[in-house]
Amino acid sequence: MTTALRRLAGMAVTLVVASFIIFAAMYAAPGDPVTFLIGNPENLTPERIAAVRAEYHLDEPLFVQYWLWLSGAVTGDLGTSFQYHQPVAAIMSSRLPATLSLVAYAAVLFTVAGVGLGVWAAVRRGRVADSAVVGVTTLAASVPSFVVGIVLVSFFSVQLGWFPVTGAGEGFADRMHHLTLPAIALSVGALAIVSRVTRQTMVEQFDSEHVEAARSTGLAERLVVLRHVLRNAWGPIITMIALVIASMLAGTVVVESVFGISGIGSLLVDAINTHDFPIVQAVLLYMVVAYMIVTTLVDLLLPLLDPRIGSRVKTS
Amino acid sequence: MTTTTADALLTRTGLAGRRRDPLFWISTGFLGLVVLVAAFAPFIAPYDPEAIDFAAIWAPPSLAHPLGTDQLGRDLLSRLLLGTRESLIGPFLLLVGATVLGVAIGIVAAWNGGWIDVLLARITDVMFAFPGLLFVVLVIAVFGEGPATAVVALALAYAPVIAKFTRSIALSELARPYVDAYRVQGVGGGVIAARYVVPNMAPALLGYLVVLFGEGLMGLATLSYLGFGAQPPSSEWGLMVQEGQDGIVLGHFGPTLVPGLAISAVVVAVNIVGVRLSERMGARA
Amino acid sequence: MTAPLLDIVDLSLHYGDTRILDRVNLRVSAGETVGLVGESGSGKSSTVRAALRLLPPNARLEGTVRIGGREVLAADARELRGIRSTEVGFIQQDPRGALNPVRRIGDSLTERLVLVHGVGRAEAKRRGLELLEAVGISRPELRFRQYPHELSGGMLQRVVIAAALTTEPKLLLADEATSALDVTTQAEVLAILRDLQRERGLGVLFITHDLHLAAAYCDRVSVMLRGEIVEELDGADLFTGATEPYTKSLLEAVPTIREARA
Repeated sequence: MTTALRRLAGMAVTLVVASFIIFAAMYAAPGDPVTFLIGNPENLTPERIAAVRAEYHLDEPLFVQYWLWLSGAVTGDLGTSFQYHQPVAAIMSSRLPATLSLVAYAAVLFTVAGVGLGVWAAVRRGRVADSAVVGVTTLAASVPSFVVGIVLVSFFSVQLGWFPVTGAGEGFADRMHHLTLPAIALSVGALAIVSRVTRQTMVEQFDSEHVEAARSTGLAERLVVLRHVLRNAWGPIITMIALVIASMLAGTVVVESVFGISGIGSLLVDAINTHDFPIVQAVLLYMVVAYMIVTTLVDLLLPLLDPRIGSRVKTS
Repeated sequence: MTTTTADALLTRTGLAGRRRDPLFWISTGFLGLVVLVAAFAPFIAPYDPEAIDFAAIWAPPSLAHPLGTDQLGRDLLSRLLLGTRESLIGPFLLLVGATVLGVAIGIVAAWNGGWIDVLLARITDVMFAFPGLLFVVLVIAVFGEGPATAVVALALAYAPVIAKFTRSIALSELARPYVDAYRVQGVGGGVIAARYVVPNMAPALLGYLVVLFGEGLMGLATLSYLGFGAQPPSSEWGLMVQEGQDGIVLGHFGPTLVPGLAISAVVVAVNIVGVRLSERMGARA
Repeated sequence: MTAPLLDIVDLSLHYGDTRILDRVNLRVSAGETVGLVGESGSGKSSTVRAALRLLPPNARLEGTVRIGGREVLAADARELRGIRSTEVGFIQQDPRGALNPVRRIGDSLTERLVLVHGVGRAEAKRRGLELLEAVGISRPELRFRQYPHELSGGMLQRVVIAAALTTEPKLLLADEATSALDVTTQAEVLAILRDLQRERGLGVLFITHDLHLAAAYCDRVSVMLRGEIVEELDGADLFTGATEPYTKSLLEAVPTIREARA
């Protein structure tokens, strides 16, 4: 119980520190937000400037502004976009579904393919299939995701016409159709990581005594792999999958740009280019929160997979 | 995080045998060629890479333009050749910056221990815990886009990783008797570190840094692709991919695929060389 | 006389050019405890693993091994699983390693019955609990639900012995089965093993580096040196009847009990 509380407190501190760094960085950024806010230089009258400064609390000290922003963020008010003059929260929530479905799709792809390839390589360790899996996934990971995306679009969308070139689609089937290539592009790097972790932990397990013990009882090799080798490798595999998903929640920027998907990532790119700081702040905050939620979920999940983890925390 | 590709190849002898290892030599040769191209690009390039020719927009490959032209009629081959420079110098500078900073911090942390060590551990923890992208985006959002900001942002993101790696090998290096021998003779800590410890660690670091160079190249190209790094009319490869992308729907794949494949080929070669170097030096990242 | 439970004839083992075992001969009959002693690396563990074909694929085996009269080395995968699952129980040195750390004791105990022999879960559990009691474990119902890290080493080794006995094999292969335990627990586990052996008429191959233990516990003792059996003696004669210089040197290297306790 105390460990859970300590964890929560730790999370809160990290969140406050991270959000302050994000806010302070935007505050310190060169350029007067008023000029971005008013836009048309002809409107830059002293009265107008004063009104805008008051509206966006620009004359308050840093800590007061931070406090206003943070207390607003807690209640779901993330401020108003400089560019769109709409609530940031509304813009974010309209963009989130595309990003989340893209990440979910990619997560399914790289988990199934990554674990599958890893298991295959581990079972055939030291043979051709093993070298091929390790070699090919590693080389594939050396190709930047935007290049993978562009190759996929050129070939499958333009040349063969199998998939749409841009957009996220409406409705389930259409969305799957639109997001297939983006999800593949997003998965390529993760595939190498997940298959490698799967292979590595399984190979270590193959050498362990309890696997020998299981084999000595006449258990079929398939069951030895499933119930002893893979079963005991799940901890590191799931941790790695979760870390990859966590970084994907914040890392769809590139793939969204390649495939013209209006999700959180492309929102961030636009916001940086137009100096729309409230949106940049909100997206960065979302990245941190998403990352923390996923990693915390994993920490809560792991003791279920390996009872030793829970007891170790208790005793330490 | 950055060593994933390295480890995967490290655990295996790889696709080729260890003794002859043609893969390593092909990769090294290819990279040597790329560096030569970067050095002599202006002499090899058939055209001015920024020369616009509206008469030859999206021209297909021909004798006049071996790789065709882009959306402004600029010669793709010339842009690719000249782009080698910026595409390689960026990651090189970023690596030099990150290495100087990281190695210095790592050695100081290993040497002094105490609060510097604790601080380094905290910083690297935070860096590992949060998506690396977040940090880079923050730096770019604050200081504005451009090749210099992109290099600085990535260098700052890599420095703690290198520092952590350096610290671990420095700790084992400092435990060796020769360090005490010099110390007893009254040689100063800084001198010992610079003259003996760093050179002794260099082999272990080298393979790791080569792999990081590949990561850096990918990172910088990605930032340029997003419009945060190199700016037009540069022919940095990532930017070329982005500018050429409009041609895809029109069926002109060359202007975007050629620089994209160039990036991939260099990164693949760099990874192979880096991993094999680490293997030979017996260092585990 | 019936055929021996374990019959190893001229067993040799190579890894590439490296010879690990050289024409090893060993027999274990019902009701008999045979000791296999020698220094670490002499090939004791390799012998028992070769007999069960638990070695990595690059191991090259020659000779014959029969367990319960069934040929092991020439067996196909199915026959091999049959031999492993019905004829023999294998006890490893480290009980903490031998039990899957993330599975409940009960799962490890009944896995063989349920998944290899197709016994129903309820029946398997009943037999598992019975065996836990037979190896002297208190509150078997509770232990059944616990994980290996919650039990002591001595308790775990009893669980491992119980697991080896679930399918009522006639032969036990014990590889340093008590070496990882403290002296008191070791004595308790040995007593349990001895009782079980008498009750069930088991044949036991008892591998140990402890010569006193071998002399006191085994009917016959084979002494192993660099992959060869150099001498075979009755347990009672081990300290007096040795003729091989190597056996003598081994015996001389052993501190007597009095010295050890001093």
